[in-house]
Amino acid sequence: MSLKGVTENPVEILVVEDNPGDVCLFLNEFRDIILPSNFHVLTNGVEALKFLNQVGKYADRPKPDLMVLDLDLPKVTGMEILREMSEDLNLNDIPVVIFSALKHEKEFLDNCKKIPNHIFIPKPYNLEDYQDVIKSVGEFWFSLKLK
Amino acid sequence: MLVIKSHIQTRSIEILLVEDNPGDVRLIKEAFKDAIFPYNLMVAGDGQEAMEIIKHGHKSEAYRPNLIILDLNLPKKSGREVLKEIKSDEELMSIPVIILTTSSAKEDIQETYHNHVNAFITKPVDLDRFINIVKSIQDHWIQKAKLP
Repeated sequence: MSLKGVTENPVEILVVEDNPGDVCLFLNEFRDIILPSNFHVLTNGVEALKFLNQVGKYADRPKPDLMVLDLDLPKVTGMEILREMSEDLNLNDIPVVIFSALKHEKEFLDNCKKIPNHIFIPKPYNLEDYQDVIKSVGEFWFSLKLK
Repeated sequence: MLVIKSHIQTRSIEILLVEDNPGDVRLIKEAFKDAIFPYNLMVAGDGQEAMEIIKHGHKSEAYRPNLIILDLNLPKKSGREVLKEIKSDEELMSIPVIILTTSSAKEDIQETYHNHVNAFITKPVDLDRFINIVKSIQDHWIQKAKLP
């Protein structure tokens, strides 16, 4: 997946996050970005894997252009999802932004040899920094000029 | 009230740029000049030199980049080969590799993602967009991200 320019087709963003407040914040901030986007929000690892594998009710779901993933998830953890993705040729070309509390940094560093192609961004504590991160995600992965 | 800021980069970031086009090297160096974090930008002009520097150090000192920006079409050893070597080496595989190339070929994108590239960027033709992308790399991968 390469960076897209300004696009008329909506970008498909998969957000795997179980904290409703974080989901709300992320969607609100990202929706300010000039681009049509479809957000798919899943709150646990099991559903995330089903979505990615287009299983059951997710059979018609699109392949995400970008996945934003919290590591701290119920049922199946973020790290387990990443390991599965990295071993699957159908999934290992989906860019993933790991967006997780700073306390998970050690877990990421200890395991990043098994998932050698990802980025870890610690969730900021204040709104201004949070907005900066979302803007950075949009600018880097979708090459946009933002509002 | 305790205010916790998101992490501010204080250590010097080692960036290895593997690029054989002198014009692009100059542009990238220029784009980095405004960086607000301390950094050292090392340039290798071909894939062989890049692997020499990574594996055996530079001027007899050990060298380990925090981030690699890698062109695909390189003399002596291609960027595809360099990527494969880095991502199959236990000691090197966690170094983020960003491909910055003129190619937009689907096969190149797929192949490099299957070989665990962190990001694939097609170089814009437009100068301003090129510089913006390099600045975006700085912002996203160095200022926002935690690098291994």
